Amino acid sequence: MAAAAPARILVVEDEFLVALELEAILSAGGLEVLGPASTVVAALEIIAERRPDAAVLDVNLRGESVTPVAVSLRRLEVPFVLATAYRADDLPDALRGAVNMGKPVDSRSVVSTLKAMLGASP
Amino acid sequence: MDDLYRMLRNGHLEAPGIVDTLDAPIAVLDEDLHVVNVSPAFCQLFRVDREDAIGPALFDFSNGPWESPELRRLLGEIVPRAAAIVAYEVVHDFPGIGERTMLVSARRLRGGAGGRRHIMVQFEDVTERRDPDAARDLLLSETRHRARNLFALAHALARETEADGFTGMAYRDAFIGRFQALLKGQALQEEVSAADFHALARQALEPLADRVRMDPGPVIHLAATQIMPMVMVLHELMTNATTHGALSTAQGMVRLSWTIADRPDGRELEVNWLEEGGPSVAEVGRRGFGSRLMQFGVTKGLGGVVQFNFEPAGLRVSLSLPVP
Repeated sequence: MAAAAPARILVVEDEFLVALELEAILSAGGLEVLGPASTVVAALEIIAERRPDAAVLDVNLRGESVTPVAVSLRRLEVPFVLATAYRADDLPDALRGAVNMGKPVDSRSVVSTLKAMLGASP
Repeated sequence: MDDLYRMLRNGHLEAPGIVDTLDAPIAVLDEDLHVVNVSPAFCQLFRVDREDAIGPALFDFSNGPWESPELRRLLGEIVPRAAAIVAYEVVHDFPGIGERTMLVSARRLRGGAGGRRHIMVQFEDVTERRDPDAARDLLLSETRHRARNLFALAHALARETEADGFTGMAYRDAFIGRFQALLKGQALQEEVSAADFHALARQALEPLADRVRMDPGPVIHLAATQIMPMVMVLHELMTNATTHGALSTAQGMVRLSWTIADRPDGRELEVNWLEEGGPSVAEVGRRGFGSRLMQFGVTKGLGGVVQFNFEPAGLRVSLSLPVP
């Protein structure tokens, strides 16, 4: 069986340093990064052009909420995790219940969590 | 909604000025449900120009049809008979703004030129429903969020700073240098009256003030979100110049200049970093330039582009970024 292409992970994050770190962590984990996108519109464009296999979402994008992106991903049945310092109680309804990797994110657990989510998808 | 209705009923419907002053996203429709007027908030919500919004049928608008038969019946038949609908929920994937849950309220308006009957439709984006009592807690969590954010940035810096092949002390100095640039950038970003680029550059390059000559350009203020990345990018340029470039020799120096260009989609700040009097570029090679931190800082942080030109006289870096 030919080697599968690396899974494509959409990263949505507005702070360039955090985006840089996430890209490094995911690439080191053998995953391909789409983006990073720093706005809702940029994220939706990436989703439309290159459907991701999974996503890592920052909640607050310079005052804009990532909710529309999460809703689009749910409709496409693309799994995602959050990377936010917000507590569960402070999250918008649409995002509650999503796995939160925290901020700063733990490099080992974000890769293993994403791989587990990808493994679970058909 | 009642106050708005009363205000419009007593005023001239056709006067665009009234609709323009309303804070809420509102569209005024004629009997055929074509848009005759919109409020600025409507244009902002749907990310559409006023000229594009006025004219088409409301339900053809924004990648329609998005109405349910029930809503069409409500707006087309029931509201015109002087009834009103309040907070009817619509869920739709709107182009450019994604899937939203909107509460639609509508009311018939009396009067208008030639006895036409217009309908006023108000949209409320409730995609995120929050408990109103959480507002205060949210402020507290914002503060906590900022502190955690700084941890995340420091963590990213620590991880990104090159360690392989460097001594512990060299790594530590490199990390602390970048960390201080980060803190300086954050502090400048939080100042109420944001500094112009000249003041910002002066502060960022202060450790080597006598080696960097500034040829000041026009006064220009960056967007708040560009301040910290700019300070970090300037710090990277300064560090590279010191380790590999012009500032690694006693005679070398840097000239910093900038201009503003008018482009079709806005203004651009063009910053030029010119190194001279340093070691021959051919000897030094291109080590250390265009680091990931610089690339991300420029493309993601500033929203711009950077070009490196290795001239015989010295490195020339040109940085271009959109500015408000």
